[in-house]
Amino acid sequence: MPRLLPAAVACLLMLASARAGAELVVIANPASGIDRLTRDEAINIFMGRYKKLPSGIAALPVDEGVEKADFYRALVGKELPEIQSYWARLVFSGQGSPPRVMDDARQVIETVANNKGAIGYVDRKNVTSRVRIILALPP
Amino acid sequence: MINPLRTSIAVRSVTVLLLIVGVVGLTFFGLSYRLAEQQEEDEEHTRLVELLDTVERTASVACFLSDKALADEVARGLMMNRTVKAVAITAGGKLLAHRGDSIDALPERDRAPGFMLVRAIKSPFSPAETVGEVVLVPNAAEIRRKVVDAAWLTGRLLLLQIIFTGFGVVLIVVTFITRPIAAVSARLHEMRPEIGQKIEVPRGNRSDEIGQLVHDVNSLVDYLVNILKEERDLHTQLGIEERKFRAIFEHAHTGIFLLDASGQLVSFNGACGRFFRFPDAAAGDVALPAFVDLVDQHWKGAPALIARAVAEGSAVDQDVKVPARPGIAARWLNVVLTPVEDGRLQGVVNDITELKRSEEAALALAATDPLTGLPNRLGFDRRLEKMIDDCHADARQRFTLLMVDLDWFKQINDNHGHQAGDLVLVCTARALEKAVRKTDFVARVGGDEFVLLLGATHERAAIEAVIRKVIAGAGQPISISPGISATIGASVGAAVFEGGAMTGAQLLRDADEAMYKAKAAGRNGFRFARPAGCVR
Repeated sequence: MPRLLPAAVACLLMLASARAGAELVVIANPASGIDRLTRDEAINIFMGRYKKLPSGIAALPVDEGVEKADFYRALVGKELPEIQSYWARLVFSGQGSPPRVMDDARQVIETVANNKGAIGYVDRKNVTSRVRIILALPP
Repeated sequence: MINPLRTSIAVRSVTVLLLIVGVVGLTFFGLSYRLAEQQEEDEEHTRLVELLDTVERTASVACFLSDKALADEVARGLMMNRTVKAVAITAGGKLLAHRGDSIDALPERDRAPGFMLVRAIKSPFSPAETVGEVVLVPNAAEIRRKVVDAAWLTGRLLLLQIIFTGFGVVLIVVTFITRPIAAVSARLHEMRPEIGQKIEVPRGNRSDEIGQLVHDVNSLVDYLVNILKEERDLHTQLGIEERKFRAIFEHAHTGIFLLDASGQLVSFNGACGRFFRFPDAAAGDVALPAFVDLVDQHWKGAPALIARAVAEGSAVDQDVKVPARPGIAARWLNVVLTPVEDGRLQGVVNDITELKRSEEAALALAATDPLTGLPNRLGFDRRLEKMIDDCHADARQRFTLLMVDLDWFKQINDNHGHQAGDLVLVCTARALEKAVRKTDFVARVGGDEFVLLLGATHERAAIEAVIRKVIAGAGQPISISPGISATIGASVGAAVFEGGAMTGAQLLRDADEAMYKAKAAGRNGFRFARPAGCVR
């Protein structure tokens, strides 16, 4: 037990630091044909400008409910309401729709792993080998 | 035709004011129109820029996504604005949306860089990246219409201002200037300054310029009325003086008259008219005849006296006898003529009849023998002198002098006294007068000496006839007291004046000598001084 307490404390501290300094990474299917993505490319895909990945596969961006705000803040420096208002305009014109929203990181990884054109984002520590990191977004 | 510009201050003021306001207003209107145009363009530009700002975000999204529907939405939204003529949205060189006129077909003016708006559209997510552009062409005609509308409003306001200003000026001029002046003028018309009337100051103008004007006019009227009054008083005074002098002139007993340089009678008084017996018609002042013609019948010497007065340049005078007329006695006048200024002659006429009469009486008295009433030696001398003068004037004239000496007179004086002698002398005198013609002259030149002058008689026979009558007359018995009568005789010496160098004294001496010769030859006889009719 005396050895357990410091470990628990350390675990809590880690959790806290991970929460605060969580690094989001953009992930893609390993078969998507892309190894890296520039930030601008990521923006164009997530904001609906590009319908395809640089490799020519139809792009399928997905959002993740928990990390969504942090992600857009890190990617385009905008808050969620602004992003929602942006999509609202496009919905109105019928020209596009926002990325589908996944419940958690596991579902994101599942979707990306199962679709060649899918790209999403998760906390770096949740990344599995089924997906490939193509862009890191430091906090 | 009455020109209201000349006759009405209000019309003139309004005209001038409207001209000024009109010119200034039009100038300002023009300026403001230009300004408004510029301002409107600027404002419109700003509005359009703001409009672009408004749609920029959406446009940005549209360009970012090359979303034609969204871009068209933006373009339609912009076109809702009437001042927008055309909109084109391009992204990456491709036309996303176009509304309104074709931009390439627009005139150069509309596409001028300062007029047409070109907005580069940035990416919504990276401000450094330009994703497209919006071109917006403003509607110049619409802008101008707005300017014209605004200008019309300004113009209407200006017109309204001009009208109200005009009315205001008319009101002001009429109320504050024209009406008070008209009122003053009307009062001035009705005013009778001579009874002390004054112009009333219009109410409300007491202390302003009109009040001052009225005050000044009143002062002037006062001044003039006073001058008039003084003038009138002076005139009245002069009239009184004139009448006074006129009265003195008219009622003077001295005749006064004035002749002009041509001898016309300028004026005369009543006394003058009476003296010269001017006809009544001459009393009128019109067309007075020449003075010399008026007095011609009484005074032949008038032209000569006038000429003398003019020639000598000083006062001259003459005694004039105005002969008697039926019912009017003869009168003597003393006329004094004095040259006065301008070649005029002033005449003063005095009645000297009484003076002349007493003078003549005195002269007659001095030349008269008080006892017999015959002329005395003095009277005889004068008569003789005059007759000799007449003979000298007319060489054919002759006359005869008879010297009569009474005979036996001394005895009567001695015997019967001086009273008897005097009676004899008086009777003899009457007898001698009877013996000659009325025109002949009888005088008593000594105690018992008489002289007779027979005018125009020189023939011996005629003289002798007279002498005989004289001797016969003197020889008549005279009753010297009751029951006593005396008879005297007369010795006569005759001498005829033949003219030439003979003097009166010589004639008298001749007659005297002849008389003594007759006396020496016996009483009641006569002798001629020299044979009558015999010219030596």
